[in-house]
Amino acid sequence: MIQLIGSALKEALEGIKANKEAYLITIGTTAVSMSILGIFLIVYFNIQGMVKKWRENFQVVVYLQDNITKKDMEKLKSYFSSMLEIDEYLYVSKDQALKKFRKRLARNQTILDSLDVNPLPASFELKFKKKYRHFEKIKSIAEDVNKFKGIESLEFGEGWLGKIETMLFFLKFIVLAVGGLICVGIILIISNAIKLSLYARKDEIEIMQLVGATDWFIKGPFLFEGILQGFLGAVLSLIILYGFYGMFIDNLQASRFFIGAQSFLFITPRDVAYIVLSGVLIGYAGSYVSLRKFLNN
Amino acid sequence: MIQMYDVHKKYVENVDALNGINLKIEKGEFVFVTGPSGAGKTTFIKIILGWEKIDRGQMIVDGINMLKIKRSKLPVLRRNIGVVFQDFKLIKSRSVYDNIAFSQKVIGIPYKEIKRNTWEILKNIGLSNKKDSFPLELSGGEQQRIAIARALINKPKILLADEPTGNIDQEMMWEIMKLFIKANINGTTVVFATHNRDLLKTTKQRVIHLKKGKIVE
Repeated sequence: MIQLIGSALKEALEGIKANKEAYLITIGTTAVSMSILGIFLIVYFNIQGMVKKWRENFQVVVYLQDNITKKDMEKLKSYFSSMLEIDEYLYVSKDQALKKFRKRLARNQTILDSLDVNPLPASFELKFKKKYRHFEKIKSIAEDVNKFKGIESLEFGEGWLGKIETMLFFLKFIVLAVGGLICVGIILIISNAIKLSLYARKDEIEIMQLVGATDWFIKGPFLFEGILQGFLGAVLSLIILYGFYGMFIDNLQASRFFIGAQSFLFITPRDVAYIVLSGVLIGYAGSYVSLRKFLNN
Repeated sequence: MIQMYDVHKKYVENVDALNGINLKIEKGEFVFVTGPSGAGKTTFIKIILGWEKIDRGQMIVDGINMLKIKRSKLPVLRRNIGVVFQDFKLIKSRSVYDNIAFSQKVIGIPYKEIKRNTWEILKNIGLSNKKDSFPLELSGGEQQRIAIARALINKPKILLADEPTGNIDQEMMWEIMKLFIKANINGTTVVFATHNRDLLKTTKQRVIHLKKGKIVE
């Protein structure tokens, strides 16, 4: 068995050596195609990561009317304490709100100085336990809270959270569709390269069949060739991606446009392994398609 | 060893490559198959090898029913059949040694044994000094001896030959014949397709005459 595998590998390497240029073109095309898929994956995973982080810091702000009675305020506090879903709540008075606002707009103090009255309302900031931090649950709690007296308005990012989740869904769809198309494309490219290799060694294959070689003995070297092309294409695509990623991060940091540049991540080691594995499987599929057609004829 | 009952084979409509062949070739027999071009000699060889399927009739080769044989079982059958063609069918990019070693590698014989067997057969056919040469560097007769060595290396039960002397000179033809006779003496059943009259005149072996796909007396 080891002798057979060793011999198949040796034959595969000889095949690659004999068709060097064609193989380099195939590996290059595979690498470029997989890099495009990789860019989509990086964007998708980063947006997914951001949404996850936002969800973790998710809170509902309950703005109070200036004339809220003490009784209504107590009712609200006891409601928040009784709610299992609420991890903690924080009261922010009108003065504290203004202080925070001043701090945030430190550079534009002059605008704030012209204010005669404090226009900011007092509020409660509600933080939720981890398992209840999903959009539907929070929306239903917010609706209950809104029924209490003395409430001016509620803010929980209803609009943008919904939009981001929809965008994420579409992005996932695009990644899957583009990924699927790219995979089919690479399978066809590798399949074509293997087909050329098969035709170049047609006589040799005929002789193999004459002397009693099994289909797997004949297929072995070509499958290895395909697998090797897929593997090298995937590894090269990761190198390209990492190069572009580095350049992108450097440019972001230099432009200071995006403060969180460091938090823009490369794909995880697990995904790197998946990309390499996909390359191997795509290479296998590409050569298998050609071999099946060729040997059946 | 080989039995055919009413065997038919057509490649195109209304043209019979083989038409109702009935025959028996016993184990250890040496049989010549002859006839003009297009008589069906090559088809006769190809159906024994399982390279072509028969359309009708019954055929048994080495105990295997050729009408029912699965594609996956063909390599098993072919490992017991050696075959030699007029155009040698050697791999041009490989050395003489590799061409012979190749058919042993295919069936998983260990490297050490391959080396020993190949060296031995090269000595037997008198070409051990050419082991590193490539087929196109050899004469037709030498190439055919290599092809015979490759066919015999796995000690097949049946040796098929399709015009093996067609591309070589008269003197070399007898050298080639000696190798077939030697294989037959060692117990291999030989089916030898040829239209070489000189060869047939001198033989005492059974001769099967084919004409338009039929056996004629």
